[in-house]
Amino acid sequence: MQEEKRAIRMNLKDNVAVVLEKVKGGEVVHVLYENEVEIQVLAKNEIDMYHKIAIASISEEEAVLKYGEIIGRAEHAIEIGEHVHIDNLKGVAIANEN
Amino acid sequence: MKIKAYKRTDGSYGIRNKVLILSTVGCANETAGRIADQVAGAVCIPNTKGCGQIGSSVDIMKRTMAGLVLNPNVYGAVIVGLGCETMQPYRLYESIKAKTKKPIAVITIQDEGGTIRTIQKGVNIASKMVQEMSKLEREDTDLSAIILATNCGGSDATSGISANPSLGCCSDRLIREGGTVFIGETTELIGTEHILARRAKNEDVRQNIIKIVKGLEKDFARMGIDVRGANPTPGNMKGGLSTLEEKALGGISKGGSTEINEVVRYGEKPQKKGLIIMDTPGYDIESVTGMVSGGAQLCAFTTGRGTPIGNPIIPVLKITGNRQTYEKMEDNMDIDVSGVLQGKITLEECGSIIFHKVIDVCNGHLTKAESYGFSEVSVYRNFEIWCNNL
Repeated sequence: MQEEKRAIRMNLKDNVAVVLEKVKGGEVVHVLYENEVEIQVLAKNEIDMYHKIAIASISEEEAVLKYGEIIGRAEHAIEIGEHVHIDNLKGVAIANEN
Repeated sequence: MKIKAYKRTDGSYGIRNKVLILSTVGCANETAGRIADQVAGAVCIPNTKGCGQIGSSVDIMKRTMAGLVLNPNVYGAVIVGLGCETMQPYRLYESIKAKTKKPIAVITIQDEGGTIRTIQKGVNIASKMVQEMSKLEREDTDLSAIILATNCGGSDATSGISANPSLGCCSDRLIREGGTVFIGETTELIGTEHILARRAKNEDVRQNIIKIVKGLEKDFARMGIDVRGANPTPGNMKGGLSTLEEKALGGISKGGSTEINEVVRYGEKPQKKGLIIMDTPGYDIESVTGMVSGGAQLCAFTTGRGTPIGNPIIPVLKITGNRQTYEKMEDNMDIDVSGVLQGKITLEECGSIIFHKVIDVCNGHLTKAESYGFSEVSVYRNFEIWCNNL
């Protein structure tokens, strides 16, 4: 029997959540908002504790939202359950600057 | 919500009752310290500089020295100087006297004739002040009298998802009750200035937000430092932060979600209530000191790794969302909000716990840093141009 894994969503607008423990590919992640399990997502790959998991499919160049705000854009399409980090997410603040 | 606090002559309310022994220069620190040691109820603020200062550093020091005396937690003050320093003690005294009716005295080591006579006179003055102060009783007032300073230090991967947003819920509630909340640490606002600007109450505030953030970034660039490129740090990335915006958003979440009503300079008292940005540096102790000078009566301090700091004038309340840190440093941590990360408690509920603790501290409950008598203080100094050429 599989151990229940959890992630926390900071804002209802967000398309990523933060996993509260290390998750392996193939595990089911319960995404909490205000302590209620909102949705369940199947992890696509390994995700370290406090790293982000996509809870919606995100197309290339689409805004990635956490705290209900844009934290960057998807470098390429991201599927539900994928680890979202520096390989597929780029900040826009840097681009704005140059 | 009502609290009980000490009413001051200018209509402000202190949540602590202190006589401040303020040193205007490092040369007078030991003398000022000995006066405070002799008088129960007196606290010393030693000067991190006070002389050999140039440019806007002098203005910042003057503004902050005055602000510390004017803080509502201060009943009265004895200004202790050497006499010949940049931070002229008598002029400082006159400038503060023009703004308040609270009891203030000034003495200098050169005029009194040595440290023994200065200490004797200082103890005489301060002991009379604490006797008068002890007659004051707390009176009912509401949260519109309160300015809460916020700060984060020793941040880790938990900070942006537990302690900071929990404090944000408390900030929103305090502001709903008519109170005021400071956020600062301008370095950490870089990357969120466009988001903060959207939350500005008016065009003036919007421009000031952009001005302090972009201005700081330019100052960094002049010294060859690329803040955007250097953040998030490799350690931040390992902890799960991917972009500068994400890191900065986690930091500013402690101010909550209300509109930003004013931007003030370091150490400056706001004219408005609600959410206020103060332009402060990233060093925790300097940032908190600036907010104390701006009139904050207490500070809510979030931390991931843990920190013990206190302040001589205001209570500093520690909040961590890292369970291990709480267990390891329980003697320094006031509130554990790590339950958020175990799915046991919501951010809103944590905000409520912090809010009620803030009320208790306003009513006189001691924070852990206070119970140890911790009194870290440091006034920010810019224009340090020396010893840089070999």
